[in-house]
Amino acid sequence: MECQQMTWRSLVIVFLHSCPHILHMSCFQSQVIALDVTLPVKQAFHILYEQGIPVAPLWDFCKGQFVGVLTASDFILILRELGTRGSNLTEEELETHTISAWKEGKAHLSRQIDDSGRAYSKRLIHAGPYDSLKDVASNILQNSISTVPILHSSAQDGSFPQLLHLASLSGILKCICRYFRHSAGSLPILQQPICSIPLGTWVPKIGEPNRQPFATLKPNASLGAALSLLVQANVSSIPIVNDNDSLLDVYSRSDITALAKDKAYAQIHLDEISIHQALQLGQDANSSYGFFNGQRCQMCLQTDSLHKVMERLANPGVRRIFIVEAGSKRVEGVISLSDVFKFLLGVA
Amino acid sequence: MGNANGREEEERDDGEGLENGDLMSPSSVVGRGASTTSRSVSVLDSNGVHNHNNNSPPDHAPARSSSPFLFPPQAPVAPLRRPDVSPVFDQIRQNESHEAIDEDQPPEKGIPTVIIWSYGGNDVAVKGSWDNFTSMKRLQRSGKDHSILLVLPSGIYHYKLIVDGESKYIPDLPSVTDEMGCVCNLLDVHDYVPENIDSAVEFEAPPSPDHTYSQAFPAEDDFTKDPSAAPPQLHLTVLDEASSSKPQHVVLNHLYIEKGWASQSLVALGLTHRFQSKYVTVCLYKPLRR
Repeated sequence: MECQQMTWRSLVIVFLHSCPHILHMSCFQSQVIALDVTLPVKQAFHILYEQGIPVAPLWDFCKGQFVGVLTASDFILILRELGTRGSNLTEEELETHTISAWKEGKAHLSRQIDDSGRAYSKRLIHAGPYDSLKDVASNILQNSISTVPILHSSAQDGSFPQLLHLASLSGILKCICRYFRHSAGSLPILQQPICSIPLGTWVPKIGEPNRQPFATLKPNASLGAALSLLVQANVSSIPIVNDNDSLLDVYSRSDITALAKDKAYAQIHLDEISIHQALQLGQDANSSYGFFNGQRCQMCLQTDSLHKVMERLANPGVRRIFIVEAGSKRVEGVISLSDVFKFLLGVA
Repeated sequence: MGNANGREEEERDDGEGLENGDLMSPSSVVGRGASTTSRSVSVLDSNGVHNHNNNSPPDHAPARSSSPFLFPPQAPVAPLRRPDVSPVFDQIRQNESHEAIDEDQPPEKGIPTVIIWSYGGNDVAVKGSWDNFTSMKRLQRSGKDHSILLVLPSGIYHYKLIVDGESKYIPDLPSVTDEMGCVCNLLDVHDYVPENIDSAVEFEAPPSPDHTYSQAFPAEDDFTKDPSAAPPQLHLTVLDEASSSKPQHVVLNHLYIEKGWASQSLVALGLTHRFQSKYVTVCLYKPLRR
């Protein structure tokens, strides 16, 4: 089995190495949204919500460069700041507080308190159109980000960069799936059940006392608790379960933009609104944001094959899939895009 | 500009180097011919004019074809009825969404693809991963070339050619070698017809008359006059509903501005540019200072 894994993984790596990213940019025609760094954070929040995107690159007119990205995590941190007594950020200031000011403040804060050894990079992490798929995937994994902007400049000094694409692991996984789709029969490892492969994060079973607890929340838990958990556990989503541990829904970082609807963030208090209510805000009859195939959470069984799980994760907007028990829908584990890539690239 | 009907293959170059790709690309010529073959044929020529070779970095310079393959073999194939990017009917289908992302679409539709062997031989057949190398399909001979039309779902395949009993591969096309040293060619079948940039590059637009290059930058009082009317082709902005069909070349590299939300003092700037054969629309939101 080990041998099979290694053969197939080396095939995947060879494939990823040989393909410049540009060949597999998702569409014939695509649209990317960028924000000026001098935009007030509040307006940026609304734009992300209205356009249905979780991340946008930031453009600085003075420097003539892309200088960073604004993500859902930024909003989570901002909202938590607002809620903190004695914080420097108030509601009114949100109207004029620019993205660049926020990023400055954040850098300042993280230099003070970050002792995890990870360098806070002020330079934009980006990739080029001719970087191989493997380089782009490694870039994303190593920097623990979800999307990397693909920039191209025809000038030697990198001036006048063109924004081409926002690359993510799901796009790359889609290429891999497409490449192996017609040879799935000849690669036995793809047919193996995921429970037999060291992949994903699983709920510790009885008798495994040293494993880390698997984070879940009940629907009536406060939004503040959910946001704290997202930040502290450094995960991108938390499954919401009922008293029997059955999967009901999921709260992801990107769900935070739903609070921009009708300026809900200005009217609520993080600790007084439940996750359930927060999710209701974002979902009206016509909104399909966050849904794939009619479902917000993707589920699978532990007996499902690796191939099936990979094909599901290759769909845009799906970043994780929950492993549940048949029938009861009890959460048994989760597999995310980064889990799959760490497995494919043989990274710890 | 004489382009009122907006048909892409008749666009004139406006002197800024926008290429007039569709007029020259073999696939559009094929499309216009009233043959029974479908319009989204992706052509592989043994001289290496696979459209994606154009995108590889300079050190893998693709071989240019001296004779673009204009007429596919007359194997009868029903025309595809999907809203694909046929150059002829693009105008009509402009509002329909492009199905390059079609994961939700019903089971894989076949896309006609041609494989050509031009290195001689009497009896040429092909075996491929589309059926796990089980069957051999004979290529039809026409002069020195042997070719076959296959209808395959979108994806990547390996194949090899059996020429007079010997296993061969096409040297100029992408290929892959396995652990045992066997070489197979790679076939990448796409849902859409990529543009053939090669032919566009060979099309040299005549330069604009010399005196037009001496226009002075607008002075202060020029700004008090009304701006000149935008040509009708540019009225369709990129900031309108996010259309996912291929944009017309005439809107490329033009900056659009949308000032919709007076209360929010925000503007959206939109620009569509072409990078190789991809079209990207970048929408930048910027605050408007009073």
